Amino acid sequence: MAKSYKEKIIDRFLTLYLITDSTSRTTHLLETKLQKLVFLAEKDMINNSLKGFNYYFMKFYHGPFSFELRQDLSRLVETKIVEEPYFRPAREAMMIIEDFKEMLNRNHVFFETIHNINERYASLQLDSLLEFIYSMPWGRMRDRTVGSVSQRTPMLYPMKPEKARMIFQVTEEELRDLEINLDPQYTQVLEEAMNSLKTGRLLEHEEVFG
Amino acid sequence: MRKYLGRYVPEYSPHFKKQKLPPDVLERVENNLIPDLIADPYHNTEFGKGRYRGKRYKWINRFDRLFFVICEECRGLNHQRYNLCRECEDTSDNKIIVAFVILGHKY
Repeated sequence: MAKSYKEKIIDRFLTLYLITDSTSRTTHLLETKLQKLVFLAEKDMINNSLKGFNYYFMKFYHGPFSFELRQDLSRLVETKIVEEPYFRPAREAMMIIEDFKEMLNRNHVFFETIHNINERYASLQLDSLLEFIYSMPWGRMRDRTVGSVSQRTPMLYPMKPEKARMIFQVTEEELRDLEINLDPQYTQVLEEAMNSLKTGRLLEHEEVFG
Repeated sequence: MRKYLGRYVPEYSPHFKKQKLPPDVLERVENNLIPDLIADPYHNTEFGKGRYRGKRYKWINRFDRLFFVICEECRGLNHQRYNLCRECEDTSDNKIIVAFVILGHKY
């Protein structure tokens, strides 16, 4: 089933939160590590019947991997909220997190999950993190390990709302504010307008409307 | 925050003019929103969040919103660090700067 627009925006915000929260624990956040941290956070949420992250993960060359997450990371870079290399949060990322405090408080369980995952795994060297993930038990009978399942095996997918004990709560107003912060289509307008104010001459009413 | 008691004077960012707004949106901005903002830019308007800090907005319709800055408020709240207008020093407190329109909210 295709993800809803709401789920996409929530995913992007949770990823941004994970990135900002991890900065104090790791200085070189590469995509492989980031993919694993999101995987662990989503898995933990699913294990606790929390519908937060909605990424599809499959087994790939270096363990669980999500193409949707890769796309979202590119979008966050494109909006200049996150800077390459190492996915460093820009000042704007903190502004977004600060201005959605109410939403963070309302959904504190989800953010605590992310925080705990970062606390446990973000400071690990990539090799150690991969080793840990490869050795995780997998399958219904837990008789296999992540390392032993074959390539392209689906690993995680969005939880159905009816199966969730708790769903990430966001108001329509918050969603609309989030979408214009996290979608490059909108942030480009903001950027161009701000640049025009910084460098251009203000126009009078008649110059605009004739 | 409001100090100025007369009618406010709108000025526009060059980008606002450059934006290719649909005729119905442009008409609504000119005939409904600007007169309202001139009369009282604080009424029925809110601050943007995150990257839109320091700018107020007013909905044009269900999907589009107009972002603007009230000069007296921007100075009073030290929002110049977000807005960085080149002509700030030459702009009086009774000005409102119409900055841009965000079109087509998907949600």
